[in-house]
Amino acid sequence: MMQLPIRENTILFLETRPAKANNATLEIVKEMASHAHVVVLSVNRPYENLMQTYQENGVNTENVFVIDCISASQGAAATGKNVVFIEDANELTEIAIAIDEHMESFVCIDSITTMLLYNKPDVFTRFLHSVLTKMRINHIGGVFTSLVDEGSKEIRAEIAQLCDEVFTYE
Amino acid sequence: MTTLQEALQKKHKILMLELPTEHYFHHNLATLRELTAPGIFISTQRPAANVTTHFKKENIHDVHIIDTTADQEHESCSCVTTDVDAIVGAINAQLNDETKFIFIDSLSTITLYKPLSEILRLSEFLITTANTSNATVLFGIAKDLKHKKFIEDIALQVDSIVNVQ
Repeated sequence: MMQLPIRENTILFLETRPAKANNATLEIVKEMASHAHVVVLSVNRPYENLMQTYQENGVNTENVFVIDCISASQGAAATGKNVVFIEDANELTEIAIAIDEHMESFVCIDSITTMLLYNKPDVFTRFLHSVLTKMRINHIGGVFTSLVDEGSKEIRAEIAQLCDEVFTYE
Repeated sequence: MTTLQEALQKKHKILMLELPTEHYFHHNLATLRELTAPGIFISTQRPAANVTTHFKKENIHDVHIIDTTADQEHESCSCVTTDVDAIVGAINAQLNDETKFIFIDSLSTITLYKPLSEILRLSEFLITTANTSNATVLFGIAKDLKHKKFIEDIALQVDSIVNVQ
């Protein structure tokens, strides 16, 4: 298992290969939720599947709140006590409100790569900058995951320069 | 490509700093530590409260922050919008004969909010200010973004491009 540089008040840009992406996110959330509250913005996996994976892998789900951006668009929005369902991953205002209302210690955005499939890069980067600013004002730490992608170097640079650290999960 | 100290020794007044994309703000702080205060730091990336915390940790003093990210009053700080006239007004309110530098953390972040024509207007103002005051102007830019056309246009007008390692 890798030593992840997760610290309070620190925002990490975490890059990984596709084959490692699920493990990376799982490890991050497990580490954060072991001692603090974490909001997970999920565009890769629906809430039910995510919670099942977390439970199977010993994540303290009492400390996890999920903003699910995919179930509702697939007609699969279930109910749950620690979840809010967003109709579409391009509803950035709704997502920002949900993060604002529920963030306490950490925020994990999983993933920037998938969010960019639904949003224009400049609009999404502006959204991310706004979320980052709120996180910094409220002393919230976080991790933004992204796939290593040589094709989007410019977007990567715009986002990575806003974070405290860049870390490659291998 | 010169270092910051070489550029300052040559008394160059308008500098573009190419900073590593990774640990970008850390390199901003390292640059500030090398500059002589008092000065003005235009923060387009982080709120003043966060910047101030880092300044205290790094023993950076006498730097007035112009915060374009959050409307949250803080010590030694002016909060303005990303509107260029508002930023210019805040600079003019702080600028005096003692001001040694004006450092904008990132030219690219402000383009998320304003058209390029406005960024060029801001850079024109800062270049004119450098030429008519005692202050050195420093433009921060991530290395991975230096090939952008508007950055290249501004780079043509600076005295030195500094490669920050």
